[in-house]
Amino acid sequence: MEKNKAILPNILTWARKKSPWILHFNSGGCNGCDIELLSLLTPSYDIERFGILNEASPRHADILVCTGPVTEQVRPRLKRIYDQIPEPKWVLAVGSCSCSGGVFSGAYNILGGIDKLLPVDMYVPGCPCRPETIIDGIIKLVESIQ
Amino acid sequence: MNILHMLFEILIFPGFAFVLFTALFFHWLDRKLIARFQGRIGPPWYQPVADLIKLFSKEDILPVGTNEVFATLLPLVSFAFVMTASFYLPFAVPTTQSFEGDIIVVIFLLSMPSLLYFLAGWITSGVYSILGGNRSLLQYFSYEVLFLLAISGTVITSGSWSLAGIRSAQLTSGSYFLPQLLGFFLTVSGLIGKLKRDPYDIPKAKSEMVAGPLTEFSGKKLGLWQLTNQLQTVVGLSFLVHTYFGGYWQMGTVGGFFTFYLLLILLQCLLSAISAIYARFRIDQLIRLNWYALIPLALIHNLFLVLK
Amino acid sequence: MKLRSYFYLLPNIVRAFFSKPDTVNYPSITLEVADRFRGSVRIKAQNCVGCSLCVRDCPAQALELEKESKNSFRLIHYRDRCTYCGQCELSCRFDAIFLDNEYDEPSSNRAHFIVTLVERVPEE
Ligand code: SF4
Ligand code: SF4
Ligand code: SF4
Repeated sequence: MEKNKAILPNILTWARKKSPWILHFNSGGCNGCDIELLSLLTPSYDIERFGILNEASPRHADILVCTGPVTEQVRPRLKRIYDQIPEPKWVLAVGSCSCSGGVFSGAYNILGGIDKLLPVDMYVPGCPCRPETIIDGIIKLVESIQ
Repeated sequence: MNILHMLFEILIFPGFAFVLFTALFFHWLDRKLIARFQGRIGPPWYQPVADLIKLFSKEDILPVGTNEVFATLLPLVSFAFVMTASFYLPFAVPTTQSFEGDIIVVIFLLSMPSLLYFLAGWITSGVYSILGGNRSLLQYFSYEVLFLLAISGTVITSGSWSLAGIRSAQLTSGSYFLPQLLGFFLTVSGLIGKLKRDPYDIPKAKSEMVAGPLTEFSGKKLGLWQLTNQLQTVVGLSFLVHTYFGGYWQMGTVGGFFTFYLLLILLQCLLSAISAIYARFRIDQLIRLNWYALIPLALIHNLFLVLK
Repeated sequence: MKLRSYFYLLPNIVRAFFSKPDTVNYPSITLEVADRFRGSVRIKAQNCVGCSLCVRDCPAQALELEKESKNSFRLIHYRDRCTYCGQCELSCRFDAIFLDNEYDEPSSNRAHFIVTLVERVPEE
């Protein structure tokens, strides 16, 4: 019985680590990071070898990969998309402007960072970040799953 | 002893567990092949298992106002339909008794999930789901007719409405694959529509409408829908192996089993290559192609077979 | 002519299938980065005089100078704000601050992104 208890969570963790499906959302950035993120799907980076799929519906996703400084317009929608992702879920902030506001910081219409609205699990700096850094970020995030 | 043997047959070897394993394996093969065709590496072999376990362990959310009983039943019922169809298409291992007209039963069982797919879009009241459901129904009226017309070519030549009859006719006269190459490709085209695979993936077009009818499904239900689709691929392919490649293998032999499996893998390669080559049709293009070109072609092909 | 366009991709996928994948197996193989790539901000600490030219010109307020006197100051860099534009390198007249061609590591804690570039305390 004890052993069963230990094995099942282990299998679950293994499965979660091996198939993190991502949902990509731009909360008002300049689109630089989005292009870098989409280059992960191209043959030269191919994130499918880590089991990552780019899903279009928030209900299918595990990791919300969010770029941009969260403008006031997009703020309720971002919150809603986050709520629609089924548990367990994680948030990855991609790009300097999604970490802190970056080059937009001080503008009147932004919140300045995703962590003001959602709990962020991993920050990826760079403006735009290199695809390698994004892969690093996702792998680090996935390894921290318990 | 007899009952144990029967249970073993239903639950494990040619039955439930084996078919599920094959479905997962073919899903991996499909993804890996498409990845290789595009010059990528592709997912590791355990990917479908990990996906399935993860989806089954996730939270299950449904939008407000959705009938929960229906939303739970639909994937279950469509899974049951496909699973039942798989018992009529044994992997060269004799299980169920073949009877006159079972080909119709199999076609019915294989076409039901598409209807339920439409219903799934209809009950989860999202815009994308309803649009996807509508599209899947529109598509249904083109590929389903084509599939039935094309497959009836084999029925006409063999003169039998049962799978066993078609198989035995091919054992004596040779497989229908080469003499009816046109019919074979028309059937494959219909099958791709059934499976909603790449050029015919209009109902779940990712770049246009999120995920079609499955947009609002999550967790276990999504996992079950995906499993249904994977199972449908295997069952549809083994249907082709029964009807067009019946002359290459024999029921109930070890060699027959391996030839069967090899043929399945080759057909999966064909499907993956088609997915990798062609881009998605628009819905009007698809219907025009089916009703103006492929269905008349199938009719002429059948007429030719009758006259011969 | 038209028929050929339907099979136009076929040789390509066959070639791709039988040749090695184009994928760079990233975490086990490091990718080459161009020399002029603007990566993390570094400093030659002995050159810096604390003139705050770079702080003034930074478009993202990623640099901060805490200055008490001419030889007691701290130059702090916030990596999570930096846009890696290279303006600080251009502005610095003393050839102190520059952009490396390595990129910054992601982290789960934003405190890791705060780097003290120069810390100068007056000698007693
Ligand atoms: S981090 Fe820079 S490149 Fe990325 S979205 Fe923000 S402003 Fe654009
Ligand atoms: S690279 Fe640009 S944003 Fe970064 S510290 Fe230098 S001036 Fe500021
Ligand atoms: S890095 Fe250069 S510009 Fe900046 S404070 Fe030091 S000397 Fe002045």
